[in-house]
Amino acid sequence: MGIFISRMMDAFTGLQEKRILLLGLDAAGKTTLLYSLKLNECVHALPTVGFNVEHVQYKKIDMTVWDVGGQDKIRRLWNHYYRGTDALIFVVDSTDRDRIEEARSELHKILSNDEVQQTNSAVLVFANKQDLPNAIAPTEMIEKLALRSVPCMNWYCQGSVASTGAGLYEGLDWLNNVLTKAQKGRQGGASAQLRF
Amino acid sequence: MPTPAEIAVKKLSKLPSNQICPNCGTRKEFGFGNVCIKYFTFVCNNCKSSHQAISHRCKSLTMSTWSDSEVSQLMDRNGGGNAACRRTWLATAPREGEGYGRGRRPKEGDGLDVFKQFVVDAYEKRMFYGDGQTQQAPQPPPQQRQRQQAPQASRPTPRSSSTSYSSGDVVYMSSRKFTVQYVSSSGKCDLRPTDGGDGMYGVPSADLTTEQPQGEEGIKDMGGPWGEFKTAEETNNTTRDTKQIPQKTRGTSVVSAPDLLSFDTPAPGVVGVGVSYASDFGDLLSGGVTSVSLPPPQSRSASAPEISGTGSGFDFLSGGGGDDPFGTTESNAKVGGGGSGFGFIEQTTTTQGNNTGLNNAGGGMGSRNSMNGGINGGMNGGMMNNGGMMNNGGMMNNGGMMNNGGMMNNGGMMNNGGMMNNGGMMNNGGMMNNGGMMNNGGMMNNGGMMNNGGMMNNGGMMNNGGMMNNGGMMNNGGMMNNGGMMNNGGMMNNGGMMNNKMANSSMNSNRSQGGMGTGGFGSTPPPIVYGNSNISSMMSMNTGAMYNSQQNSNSPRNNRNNDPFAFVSQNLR
Repeated sequence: MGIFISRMMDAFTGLQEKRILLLGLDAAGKTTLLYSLKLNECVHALPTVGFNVEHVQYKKIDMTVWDVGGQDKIRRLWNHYYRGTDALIFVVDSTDRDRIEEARSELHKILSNDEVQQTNSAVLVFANKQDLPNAIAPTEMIEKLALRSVPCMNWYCQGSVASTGAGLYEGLDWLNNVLTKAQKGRQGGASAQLRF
Repeated sequence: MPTPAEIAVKKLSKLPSNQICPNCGTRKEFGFGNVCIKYFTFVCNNCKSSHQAISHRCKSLTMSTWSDSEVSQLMDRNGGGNAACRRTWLATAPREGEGYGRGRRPKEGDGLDVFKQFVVDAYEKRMFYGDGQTQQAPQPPPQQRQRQQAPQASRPTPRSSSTSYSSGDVVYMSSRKFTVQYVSSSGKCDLRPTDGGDGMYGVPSADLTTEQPQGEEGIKDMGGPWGEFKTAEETNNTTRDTKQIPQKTRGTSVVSAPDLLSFDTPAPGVVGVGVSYASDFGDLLSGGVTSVSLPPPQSRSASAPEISGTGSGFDFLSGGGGDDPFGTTESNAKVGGGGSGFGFIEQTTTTQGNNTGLNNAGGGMGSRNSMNGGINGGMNGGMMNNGGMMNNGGMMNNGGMMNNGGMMNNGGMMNNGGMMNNGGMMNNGGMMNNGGMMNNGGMMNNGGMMNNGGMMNNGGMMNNGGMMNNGGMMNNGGMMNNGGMMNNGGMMNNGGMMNNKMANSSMNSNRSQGGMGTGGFGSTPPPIVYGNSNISSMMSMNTGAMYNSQQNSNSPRNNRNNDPFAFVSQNLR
């Protein structure tokens, strides 16, 4: 009941609830990024087994961010999280040039998934760890990840430093814009939602 | 299923030299779970964070895949491992906790900044880099320094001259007490620990002492090369003459568990639900243990007396070995502890290590302490009791009943055919299948997929990130969060708060006294209505719960058209 009332309030205030999936290779900085957003401080993350979930409110979006472990053995669990996500945040370690190819194939594997394509309207790529020397710049990252070949989906590549929070809110600004537009676009097609 | 490379890296992590973090001297008996790939060291959590902070790639033992070449690089003879790192990168470093120039070397319990500073100084600035010949840190205590020098002085000549032992001698190494089993002509000893743990084979006699080491310092003086180190099973499988090792149980093979345990009943007969994983489970079990199919939950009580009784002639596989379904042979001796006969092994010492292979084909496995660290890849046909903490990194199959009094972590796949009781906290990162009844007294986190064929009781909080299938009845006393998909084929009672993103259910009641409602709900009004269930269900349904009744073959009575609220919820979404 309480939830219902709060949902009604949200409907008046315009707050939208969105489900966001945070993915990337291991040690890319996903958990650090999540807690940097949530707590505004740098936590020392250990490898994520399973997942972390946090609510992050930014502007008019109440984001439920799912941070799923990225170690190669548990990547096969990612597909359990795809359904019903509104946007994807993909974090890449910009200094890890050896595994940039691995990151590219993982990203394209996610984006080619049917469930992702159904509901997901945007992918935000964070080229993380820009504070370290020899980091790949965001523009170069677009090439390395072959983002231009991503079909039918909004994408955006943003340099970031998850430990200090630099660049994170620029990325979320973009996400906010895209998701707000997507919401407006969907209102006309509410009947289609009934097919579930 | 662990690959040979993963088993090998796990084994390497348990070498005495690799049980001590090279940077800070933190000791972990079961080996560290992280490897810094750049410097080929097994590091503690703090040092791992410090390495990662400056982009030295680290990999997890259990959650990463390992190749043969990576594993071989971790061996001491190839310049990897903690001992080699101490000889080179940290050759001139001060002892743990002591200062140098502008900082100090971290020790266990220090803040992370100390660790980070030291890792930067040692590896990026090469402040302590040496030529690899001297082994400065850490210093042994005075009474042991003499023998510490022996291997250094005699390198590279064979280290057999100074001391000689004979079978039956009691010796000490790395603060553990061993009995000498066998001495080879080259001066290498085979040791059996007096506490029943893993034996050591091919240990140079120069590394041993007859004095009892004192204090913690005694542990730290074993940075020497351990290229010859082998665990018991490995040695057994190679050319060594096994007759020299008195092993009561070695070589016993698969036993006829099905007859004794009446496991020949059909796969889990969960009422009204097509449990698709039942056949998978049967396949898994039958991979090595002849045909152990699962007993249905109802028949378990009937077979229980046989489990706990005195089934004579039952050969208990404490040593594992021969017919290993996985083709891997790790030491199982730790689990068995030399017990024989039918029944339980009460092991009061810590059962660590890798329990790979066929552990107990029908008896019981009991541990008062913890089953930890390793790859619990074995199968247990009977009952498993664990009083402490259980970590499972690989695959675990349990055909009978499993009781766990403490915390259970599961990183891989766990199959349980019978009843599972967990008194503490349960984390599941991988896949868990449970064919029978599951009781959980504490908190349960599920990151992967959980299938439950029977009844599930949860007394605490349950988080589900992945997919949960429940074929029977589910009771939840606390809070339940479901982030993924939940299918419930039977009846669900929830006493607390339930947040649910997606659910399928055929019959679902929510007894929330003051608690919040539920996300998933049954579309057909259940014959027995608990409280105000469906009303409260509907009220909070608009959380975006998604609901696929047409595709849900598991709940035949589930016809959403009968439920006016279903449409309400979806409009709200």
